[in-house]
Amino acid sequence: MTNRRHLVIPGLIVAVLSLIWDLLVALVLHIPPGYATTTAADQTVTSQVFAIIAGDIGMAVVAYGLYFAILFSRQGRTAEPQAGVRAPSNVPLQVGWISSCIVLVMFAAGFGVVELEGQTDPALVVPASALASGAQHHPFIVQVIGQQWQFTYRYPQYGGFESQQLRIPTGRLIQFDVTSLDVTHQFWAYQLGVKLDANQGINNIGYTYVASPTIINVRCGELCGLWHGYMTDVGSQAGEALAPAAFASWLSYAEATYGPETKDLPKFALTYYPAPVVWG
Amino acid sequence: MSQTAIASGRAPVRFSPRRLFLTQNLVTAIIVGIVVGAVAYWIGAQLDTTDNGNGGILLGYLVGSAGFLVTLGFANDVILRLRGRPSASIVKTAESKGWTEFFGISLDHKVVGIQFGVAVVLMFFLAGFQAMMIRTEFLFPNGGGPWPAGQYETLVGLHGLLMMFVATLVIIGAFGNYFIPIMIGAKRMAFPRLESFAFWLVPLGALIMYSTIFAGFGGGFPTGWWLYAPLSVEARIGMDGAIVGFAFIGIAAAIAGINLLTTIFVMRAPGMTWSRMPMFAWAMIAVEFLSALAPPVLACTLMLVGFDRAVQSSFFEAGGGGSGLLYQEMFWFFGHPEVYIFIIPAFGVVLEILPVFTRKPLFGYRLAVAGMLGVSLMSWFVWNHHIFTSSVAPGLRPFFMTATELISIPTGVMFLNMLGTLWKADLRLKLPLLFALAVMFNFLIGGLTGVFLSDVPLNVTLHDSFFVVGHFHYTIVGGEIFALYAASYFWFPKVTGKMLNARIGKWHFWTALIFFNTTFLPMFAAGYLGQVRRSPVYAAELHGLNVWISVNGFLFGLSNLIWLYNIVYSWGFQKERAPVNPWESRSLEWQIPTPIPADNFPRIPTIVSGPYEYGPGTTRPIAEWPDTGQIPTPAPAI
Amino acid sequence: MISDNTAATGTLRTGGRAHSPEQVARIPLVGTWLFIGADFFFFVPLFFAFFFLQQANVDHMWQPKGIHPPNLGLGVAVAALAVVGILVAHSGLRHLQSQRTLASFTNTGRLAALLLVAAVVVQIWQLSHVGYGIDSGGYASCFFAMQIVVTIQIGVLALWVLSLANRAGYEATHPIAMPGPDAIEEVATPISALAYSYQMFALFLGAVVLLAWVVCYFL
Repeated sequence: MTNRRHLVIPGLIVAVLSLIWDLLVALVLHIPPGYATTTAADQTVTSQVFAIIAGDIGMAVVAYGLYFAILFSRQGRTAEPQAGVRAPSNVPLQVGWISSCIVLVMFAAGFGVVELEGQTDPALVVPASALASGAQHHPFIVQVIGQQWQFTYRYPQYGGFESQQLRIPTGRLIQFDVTSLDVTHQFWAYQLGVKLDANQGINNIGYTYVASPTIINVRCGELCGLWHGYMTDVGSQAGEALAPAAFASWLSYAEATYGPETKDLPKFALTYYPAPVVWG
Repeated sequence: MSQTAIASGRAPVRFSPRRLFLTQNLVTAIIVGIVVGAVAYWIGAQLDTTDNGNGGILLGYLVGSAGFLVTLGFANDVILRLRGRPSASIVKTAESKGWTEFFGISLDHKVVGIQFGVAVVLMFFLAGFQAMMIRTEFLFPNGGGPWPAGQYETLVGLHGLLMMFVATLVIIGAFGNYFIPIMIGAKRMAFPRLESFAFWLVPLGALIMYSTIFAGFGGGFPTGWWLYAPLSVEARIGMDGAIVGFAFIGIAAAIAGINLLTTIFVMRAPGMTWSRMPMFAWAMIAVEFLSALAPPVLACTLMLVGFDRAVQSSFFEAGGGGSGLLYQEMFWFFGHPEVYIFIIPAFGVVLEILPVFTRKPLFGYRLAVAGMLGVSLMSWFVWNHHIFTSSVAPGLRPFFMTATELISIPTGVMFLNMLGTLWKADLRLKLPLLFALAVMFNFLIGGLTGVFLSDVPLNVTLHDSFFVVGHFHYTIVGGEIFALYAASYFWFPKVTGKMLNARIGKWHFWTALIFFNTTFLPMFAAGYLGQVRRSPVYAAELHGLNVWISVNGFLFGLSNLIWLYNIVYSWGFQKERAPVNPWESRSLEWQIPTPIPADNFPRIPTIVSGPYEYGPGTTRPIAEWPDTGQIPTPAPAI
Repeated sequence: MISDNTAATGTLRTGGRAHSPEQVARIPLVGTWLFIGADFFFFVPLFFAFFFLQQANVDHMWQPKGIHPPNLGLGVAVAALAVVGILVAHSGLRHLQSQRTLASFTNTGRLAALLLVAAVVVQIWQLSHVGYGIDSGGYASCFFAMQIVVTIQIGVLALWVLSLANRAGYEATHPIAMPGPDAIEEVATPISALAYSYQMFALFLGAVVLLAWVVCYFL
């Protein structure tokens, strides 16, 4: 009887705390990166689900551990010390514990795989509500080029002009082609929920779909040398996702302004190398 | 030698300049190492056809290290063997040479254990001081801290790499070397010379790594502890020391792994069956398979980086046909087993301590063993989760995500062991147990946040953010370093004959636990809010959060000074001697006198029962002691 | 090999003053197996780099114009010398292991060491006459790194075999006494145990030499 009581009391505490925590996570807390894009929304929802599961498990383990530690300690409040009962290994408990772990893990893995598909398959990145507009057929391509210590952006569908600021349109499938001229960088567009490594000689592709206009903070996430910390595009020079009309006007301005410089750049390519060494 | 010196096993040490400068000892080794290294540097610089100077520096470090180790005496036995003589007897362990033994090659695993402990704890405090400097930078937004622009990355590199050295070897090196032979009833390690060799690589590697602070502007190396190529190929000369130092630690870890595994497999006392082995020994088996096999991958990878730097091979530079992704793959193939090299010893310490202080058998002994071996095995199949965003093998991401989440199953077993052992126990909330419970609490948070990171879509937003920083500090500091605290309170009386002061210890426990959590818990929020790791620049709205983290970080740093004070005070100034077996443990190391005889056991005992048979009705002793014919009474059941 | 220790020590129910000769003999065996494991993992990045860079062929720099696998003849010579040396060492060590041919291993061992050293010398000659350097693209890097590491290990094996040959010669004239049942001192590591361990490492290295040869010259 007392045994059961010692299992039920912490269980009740956990139940109450879990309920509060779950409601907090689901309804009150605003978990970044928010809902500006489909990828970001995926991450926010996944965070909520994982926070609920992990929080509940964590609280259960802590509650039982603390309860046992206090209850069974010699300085504790137990009237009769339950001195050293030989612990049978309680095989059903072990099997039950491992089985529930497996179930949880399989749920998390399945959940992750489904979400992953939704982020990497261009057809799935575009939300169902926008499919009718044909947004998934012609991705808007931005090439992100990392170098020590800045990002530049090329727009291959518009003559390959190059801009220092990231501008993308809302309501279209966006495809990022990320590469680097020198060391490994990482293109992290925070509000978009996009993070792609920029590697020398590698074209790293990612997708997103921006639902509503937003500021975009871009930071380099991969240690790329002494001024890594300063490789950010935030504040007044921040990137932006613009509504189609505003974007069109920026595009015509940018093409006219930066376009002429393009002829000084190397021809657009998926990756860029230093001048080839001639052998023999 | 006088009678008293023989009786105490300590030979009197007489000073003479001749002995200091003309024999193989630490002083001559340092002198020869520096001279030979300088000559090699000069020769290397002459041979080097490029102007980057890396060839000479690498050659200087390597040849200087070889000179140091040979002069210290590591070649003596090799030469003996080459001449066809059987190697010198190891039985000399029984003779102690006094304090000088701690500054040379010792074949006594207890001396090497203390050498490891002292050296690594010193490194821990040095690297910890760097952490304080890093947090000082965060008191000011936008990189406006006290360190010159660009120096921040150097601090991160020194802190990260030195802490890697610490975390790799602090429990394995100090407590593994000291206690494993005693726990399994052995008189010595399987390879005592290699054991000492592994130790001397550690201060050598740390010094070489640290010498890079003198390398020109800013000093150090800009790559953090990952040494990611191609940055590590292109970086300035400070990089060379980082490569050599890290490779030395890798070699030391591999040697320590082979040595401890062989010791446990071969040297066990009669009757020490697999099911009678202490959990700490099982943890060492689980971890040493990783430690023996993973660091060679690192050593080879760093060798290739060295080739790229010194002789312009092209493994990692795309311009010459190499690839940075190749480095990332090879590094994390080592790197993920490496992080379990940190945490499995912590499991071992916790599971070793739990039964002693709950006075009941460990719940699910076999399951715990299976869990640790399972973690050890599965840690080979998860490395790609460090590079989910790197474009390496995107098709494999679901596999690595699932594998990473699966590893939480054997890890979760530890929590069942803990809860099951606490259930209806006769708890004594002494400091070792408090710290062991704190390990489980911290590791719970570290483990659960690890599941967040294993999920690819979430990893996209959290990777390389402060979330990751919080996560791995929860596992390494909250897990392993707290286990180091637990182990230090638990085993200190056996090593030094003095108890660590309990009152100071309580202060240490509460300050460490509270300030550790107040420091690292907010980092999860900082990561979610977009703060990039390894960057002194953060968004203005995160200033308050960062000041909070910094202040609490300083307090956590101070709590470590309480620990240090406790060690110094209790070891040096406390008069009262500790009982032989203060915790009434059944494990073998507590059944022998303190200080432990130089050869551990006059005769090897025969083990007759398991280590955790606590509780009423237990009358079986753990071992029979043939020398005295006396069967010590088992720890009383209270 | 990794068996329960109770079984290994047989009827020994009381511990000795020192570790038993059986235990001492098993130390190099277990240690060598683990060392082979570690060494295997040391080679993993070299082979991995070869196939990774070959597949990636970044910027067409895997084998730039004019860079080909070097002359097969020298490659065959190096591999053959090394493998024959290893086989000679192996057969000698097998006999030595059974303690029957203590004195004859002096010569067999020295012959094997000589063959291995010859392999090293030919290799050095080859590497300095390839016609290009380690800095000539991906293939050249992998080729040089792999061959250098393999060659260093062949050299180390030569020294090990030589040390055992010398030991055999020494023991033929200075037999090592077996300690009594309750000896305080441990027995020196028996030559048979070392012979077994070096055999295992020699076989492993032979396999690596052949693999590196196939990879470098044919793939």
